[in-house]
Amino acid sequence: MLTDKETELIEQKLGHKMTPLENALFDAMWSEHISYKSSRKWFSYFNTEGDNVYLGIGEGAGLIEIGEGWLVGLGLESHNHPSAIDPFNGAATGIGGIIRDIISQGCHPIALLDSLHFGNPQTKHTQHLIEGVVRGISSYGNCVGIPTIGGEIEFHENFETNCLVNAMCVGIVHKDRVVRSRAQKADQLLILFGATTGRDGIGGVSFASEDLSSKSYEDRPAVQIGNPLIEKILIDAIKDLIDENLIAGLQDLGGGGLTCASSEMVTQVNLGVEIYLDNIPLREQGMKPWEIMISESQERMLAIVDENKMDKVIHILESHELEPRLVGKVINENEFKIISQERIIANIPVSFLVKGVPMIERSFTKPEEIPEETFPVIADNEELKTIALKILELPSNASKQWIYQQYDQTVQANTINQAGLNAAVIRIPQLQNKGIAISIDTNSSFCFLDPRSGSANSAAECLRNIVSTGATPIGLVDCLNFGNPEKPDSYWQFVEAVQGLGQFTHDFKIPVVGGNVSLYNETIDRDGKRLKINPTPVIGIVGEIEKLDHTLKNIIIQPNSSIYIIGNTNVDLCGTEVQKHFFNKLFGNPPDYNANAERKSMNTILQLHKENLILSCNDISQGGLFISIVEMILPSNYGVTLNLNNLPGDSTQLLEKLFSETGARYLIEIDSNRDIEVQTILQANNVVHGKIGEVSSMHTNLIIDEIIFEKLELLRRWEEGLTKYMI
Amino acid sequence: MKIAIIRFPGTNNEHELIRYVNTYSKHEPILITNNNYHQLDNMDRIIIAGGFSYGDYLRPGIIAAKSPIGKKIKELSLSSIPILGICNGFQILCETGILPGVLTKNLSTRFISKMINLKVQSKSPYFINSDQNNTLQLPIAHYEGNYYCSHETLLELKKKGQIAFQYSSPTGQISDEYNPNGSINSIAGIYNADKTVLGLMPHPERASDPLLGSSDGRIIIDTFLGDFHVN
Repeated sequence: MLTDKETELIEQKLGHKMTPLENALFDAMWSEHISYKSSRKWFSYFNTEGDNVYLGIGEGAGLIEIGEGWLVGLGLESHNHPSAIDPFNGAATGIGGIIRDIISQGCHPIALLDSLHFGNPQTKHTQHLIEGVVRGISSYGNCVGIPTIGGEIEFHENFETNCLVNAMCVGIVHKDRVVRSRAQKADQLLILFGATTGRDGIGGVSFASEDLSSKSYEDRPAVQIGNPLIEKILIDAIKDLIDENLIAGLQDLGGGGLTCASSEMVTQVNLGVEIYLDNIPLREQGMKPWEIMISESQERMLAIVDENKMDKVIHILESHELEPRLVGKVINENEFKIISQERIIANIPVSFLVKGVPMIERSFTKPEEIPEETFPVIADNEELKTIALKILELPSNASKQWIYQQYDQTVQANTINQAGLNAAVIRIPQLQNKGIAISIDTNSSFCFLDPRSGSANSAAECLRNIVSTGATPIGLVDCLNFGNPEKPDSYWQFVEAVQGLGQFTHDFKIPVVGGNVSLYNETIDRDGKRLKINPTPVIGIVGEIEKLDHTLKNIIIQPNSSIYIIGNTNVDLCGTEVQKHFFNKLFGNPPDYNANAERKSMNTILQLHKENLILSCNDISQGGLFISIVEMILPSNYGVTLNLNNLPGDSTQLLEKLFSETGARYLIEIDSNRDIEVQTILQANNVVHGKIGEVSSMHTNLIIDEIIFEKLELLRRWEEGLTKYMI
Repeated sequence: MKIAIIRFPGTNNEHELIRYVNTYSKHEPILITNNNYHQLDNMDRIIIAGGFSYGDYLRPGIIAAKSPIGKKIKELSLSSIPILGICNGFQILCETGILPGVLTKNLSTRFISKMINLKVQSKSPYFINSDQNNTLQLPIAHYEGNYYCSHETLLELKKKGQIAFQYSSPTGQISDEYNPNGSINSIAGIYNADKTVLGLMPHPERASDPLLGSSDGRIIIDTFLGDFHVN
């Protein structure tokens, strides 16, 4: 909804009271979701530059060079509110939207990942959301033929009424085939193709720019319905158009529908546009002009085409049965003109429509701190074992196989590391023995306690996932999910988090090439109490793998090898899984973000890998050393015996050693015959490390000091932790 | 040889099959769509790629089977041209009647994507003729791969050796434990009576390289693309 001030400004500029059509156009274009009016000014904290950046923030996908003229395209977007109301359609269309962002740049989509955040899986409501969201992702992504090969799923009560569904798509394109989302000159034509236009998704961007309320369930028409068959045909047809070099610009119709797509494509180059409203194919009768202009019906694309190529474009699109229509023309004047029945029914300065919204100065204040409590001392080994197994079976730590198995992970025949491993890895068949690793991650508990260090550490966790496959990070996208920016405490979280993430991108020189902001993730319950999500900056990082046949997995592979830890294990129990276990709430200072230590550990891992000295590798993040080693053992044929007496770092009690979530740590498996080579590199790098165990051929269990965890027991807890709620 | 790779609207495994033919054979892959299907008459082999032809609307494979390409393939199947239908391709072969039986929803009523083991039950010179491989490891990825046929048909399939593959343990044992989708008799793939046509739910084209977890798929597709003499 436009504010009174905004309405006044618009009507002053137009010189008259807004018509319903004009009101709809401004309401969409000046919404938080499209205009970023509360968030944009903070993006200056991000590092957006790098030698490998071909196309940065601003269009559908960021493009990063990976060699021989090939570019990787990245996009990450939220579809939170629609998924909270209608989980199946909300999630499905979230996938559809991010795929179209990627293909609008000319990319062929090669991978999907999701970051999902739900409430307590023991409640019927959360189970209903998980069921619907997973089916939505599965039905859409599988049908379009893009492997869903990774993601993260977190369960925390603060997402109970406002789940998060963020989707990332990765594509590949050669430099010669890149398409931009902009016009070049007047008289170019606008061709709309794909699905017809209906009433679904009307006001979607405004819906995303307000709190959810019980009334929101009546907003179901604001949730779009997807058709993945048309999406796949769009991919085929766009490939044909680019093969023959027929399109000058391309944009998908997402938030704000035709209004946003057409106006943004011309304002980037200081041109205007006229729209032929009557040419738009409708799927419903009696649609009003304002409904047509801001409809968010899915699977629609808008191409900019030179007049002399129009016939060919129409012919190709018709052969794919995509109903192409001439719906507008680029003009020289600074106008957004809508024509119906030979009358001009709206004429607005287009630059004002797209860029006229005043940025908002909002106030922000730090929320009150939560009183700290003291952790119990656990001296008894049996008690510690019980705690460890309980933490393993927390749904956030347990196996997500129930979810991943519903996603087609092998389509396109390039998947090297499937979902559930350290990071997704796919082959780039155009490049010899080369691939990319992709991870999507966040730690909303750390961010809840300290959004600044928490968001930097979230990015560091994501980085460690990438590095543990042997990949070098090359680019980053983010999706910033926060509460209501009109509330100073929520806005403070946002401002802090952006600065923390910005710091990370400078520290590691990883360029941010795209992103999305989702605010207003709050609900008011029946008693008027605010329920807001944990601050959740979701981060997607892509890394480059030079030797694909040496990709590392987090699975122990060789008996009698040695286990090393890289990095200090300090007393870092706040914001961790063990804190949730003991107190069922969060308090205190989360682990520090230590860029130097993180960098040193990363460089060491990459150097060891380059020398072919690592057999397997896992990062240590959520759930600490214990969860990390369990993940390495469960799919393995072998067992591991650890001795943590000399574990580097401040932690002294076994509970701390196992469950601290200090950053900058990895576990690596090393061939014991190559110990000396490894030691030499570790010492040369001056990196904190310790040899803490060995792989056994005699047993398949996990033995830590005197505690024996039988593999079958670990496996049972891990497999049932989430599944027990879902069948 | 010319290898037809069929793409209906919604098919989505065509690119990896084209790449497969280009990488592992000297033959020419030709993408066949509704716009050029008359070329089917000049093909030496036909592969019906997997995916969601026509969005799997109504029921998987049915619209493709009734389309002009579907009818053309039925006609060609009578002339002994070797045809391989993978996943949705298998569903289409059943819907055209070239292969008996139907594929219904998985017992779990969920999509299943995972690596499975297959026991080679019966060989065919067109698809698998080596004596070395009695079990194969291939990925499955389907929502409706639960094979069903009447008792009489099942007896007939057994009698004529038309059951090509069964889901099994890594060592070739067959039991419900290893049956991912509820298929009758653990059937994963069948031949027509002449064994010139194979339909299977697992994806051999996705198991073409040890990097992908298995290269067992090459045993099937390389045989299919081989220079055996077609009558």
